[in-house]
Amino acid sequence: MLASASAQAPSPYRVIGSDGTRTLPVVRGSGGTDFVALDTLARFFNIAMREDARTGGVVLAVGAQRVALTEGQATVSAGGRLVSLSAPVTKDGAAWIVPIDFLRVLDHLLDRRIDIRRGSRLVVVGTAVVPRVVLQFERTASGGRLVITVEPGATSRVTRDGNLVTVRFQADALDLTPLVQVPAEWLATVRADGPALYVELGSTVTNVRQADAQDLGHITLDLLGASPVAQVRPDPVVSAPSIDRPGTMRTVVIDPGHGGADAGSRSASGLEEKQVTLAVAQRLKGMLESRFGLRVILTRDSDTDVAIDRRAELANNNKADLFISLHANGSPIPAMRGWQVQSLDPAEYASSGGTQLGGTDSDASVPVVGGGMRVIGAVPWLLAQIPQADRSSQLGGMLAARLGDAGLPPQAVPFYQAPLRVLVGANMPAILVEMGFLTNPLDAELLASSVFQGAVAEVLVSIISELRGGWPATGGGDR
Amino acid sequence: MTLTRRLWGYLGLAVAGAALGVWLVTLWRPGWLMDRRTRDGAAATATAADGAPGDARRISASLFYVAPGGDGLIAVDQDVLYAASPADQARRIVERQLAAAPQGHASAIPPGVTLRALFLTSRGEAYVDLSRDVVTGHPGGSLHELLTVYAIVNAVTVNLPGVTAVQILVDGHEVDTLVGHLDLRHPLRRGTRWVQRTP
Repeated sequence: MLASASAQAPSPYRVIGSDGTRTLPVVRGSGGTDFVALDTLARFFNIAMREDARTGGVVLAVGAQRVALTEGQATVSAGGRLVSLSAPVTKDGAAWIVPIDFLRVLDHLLDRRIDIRRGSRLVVVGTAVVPRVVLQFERTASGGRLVITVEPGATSRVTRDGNLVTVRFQADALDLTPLVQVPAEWLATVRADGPALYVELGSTVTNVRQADAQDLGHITLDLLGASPVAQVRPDPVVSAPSIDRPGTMRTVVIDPGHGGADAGSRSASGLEEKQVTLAVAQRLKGMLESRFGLRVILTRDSDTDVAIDRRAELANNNKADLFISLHANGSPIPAMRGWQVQSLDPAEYASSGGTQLGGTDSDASVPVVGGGMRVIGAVPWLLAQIPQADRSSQLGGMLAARLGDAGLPPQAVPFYQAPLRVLVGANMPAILVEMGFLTNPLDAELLASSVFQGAVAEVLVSIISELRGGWPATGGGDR
Repeated sequence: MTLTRRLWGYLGLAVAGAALGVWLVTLWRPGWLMDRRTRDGAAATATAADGAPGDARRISASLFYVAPGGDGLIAVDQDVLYAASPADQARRIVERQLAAAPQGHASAIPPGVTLRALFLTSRGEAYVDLSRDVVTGHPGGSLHELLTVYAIVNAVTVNLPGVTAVQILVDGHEVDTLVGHLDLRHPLRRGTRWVQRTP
């Protein structure tokens, strides 16, 4: 069983551009990394490729820029800069093999967006529009309801022909999260083909009614049954098992660490942490706003001092759903490099009353309009993060598992909890990301590069995009 | 004449009393000094080694330096001058921790940092007041800030079992952080998870 599983080739990627869809075969997958043939990429993107007999490497000519790859090396020279890959470049016979994240190097050099969506095996190129589509089915008193969440929202048209409902979007393709565990009597099959979603209705459905037609991000189809009252069962919701809170992400606060008189860590060439964090934060804000229409607030948008309490306060006052503090590390040991993710260690605040938070002891009764009282959970402002610590830890783990995609190796301990001052007052899931060590020459070069900054932002965007569909279930309590 | 003889008598009694006191302290060390435990693989024995004539008495204490990989701390046994009270002993331990690292090790604390004051509370908390160099000389970064802080916190809490937590002050004042990351507004407990075992 194991042998046959390991022998199975990883499924290919679909490369979707405005000029159509192509299939990018995966030569092999190992250690969580997919490898593809370099000549296939060169063909897809019309890039000249030649072997360099002098160095034994291979050179890609991308416009006026050159990308040099060497066998066994996990770094490539791109336009005069060194860029790290998640795995070394290898050769298989005459074929050059590169990890899939090599596409990020081309993203920058081609000045064309290349969005790698590993989960759905998609590569979205240029201006191609490929919204993520998440489905949720729930039982209602009149039958069933199919909620189609589209990110970013797109214009669509719903038509019905017999038992086949077609939802056609103004897009180049769809990134569909399959719907599972749906009773076949309501939904026989759901599939995507190009920009269309095809929903084959089950035998119970007699009529379909569309609601919320004005909302580009959500399409709700009420599925009416033949004898609805008799069919209602006590278990009302059947949805994809990995999603528990759809559509809750609206506001994100990004905290570019340090600023003003507090420069943070510094590279040998004088690059300061406050500059790197602001550059990545501004890039991330632009991506989140343009792609998802999210409300994104920076704790600072210029080189200014911001009090440490003010950072979490901004997030709390704006009812943010996420707080991400960006940093770059420093060490007196120049060899230290790699990224790290951190969340708050609630155990450090046990003596401050942290263990009591979230329990009934912290609840208070307040009068409400129209009379009566309402019990609210009172959270001490200075310890607001403690009830959120589990979610933050979950977020940290998710990000730590994905940051390697940005092309930088992790630290020996990629994720840990600590008593972090900037996070403790944040009343929402909150993490601190150390993107690399400015005191390491290789990391400093990466942190200064637009390609790497964009890659880090892309990873964060992909995580936030996933969370927009709801937090992955962990077996723990809801937020 | 009688007065001089009497003075000499008092002086002799005082010298004899002092000698007796030194002998008693040597024989029966204070309980807090005896209550040393083995921590983190670095057994810190509480022997008061008698050195050559004129040498001060010393204890062996576990001090904390940057691990070879830079991503944690390691405990290294060092001789520290003996002190009769826990507060004085804590001062000597922190002063030794702030001094240059022994050969082959790197200090997590910026050079030039001095101990301004140290006091203990009845709740077993130590307040360690450091000079501003701990901020101005720090290279930055959350990981190294963590190592700096826990080198001091561990040096006190590991070697003095009666001390359970340490709050770091800078120039006599409470601080939010050293360089922007670790919450220093309250005493921190021993952080042995940052200590790597030596092979």
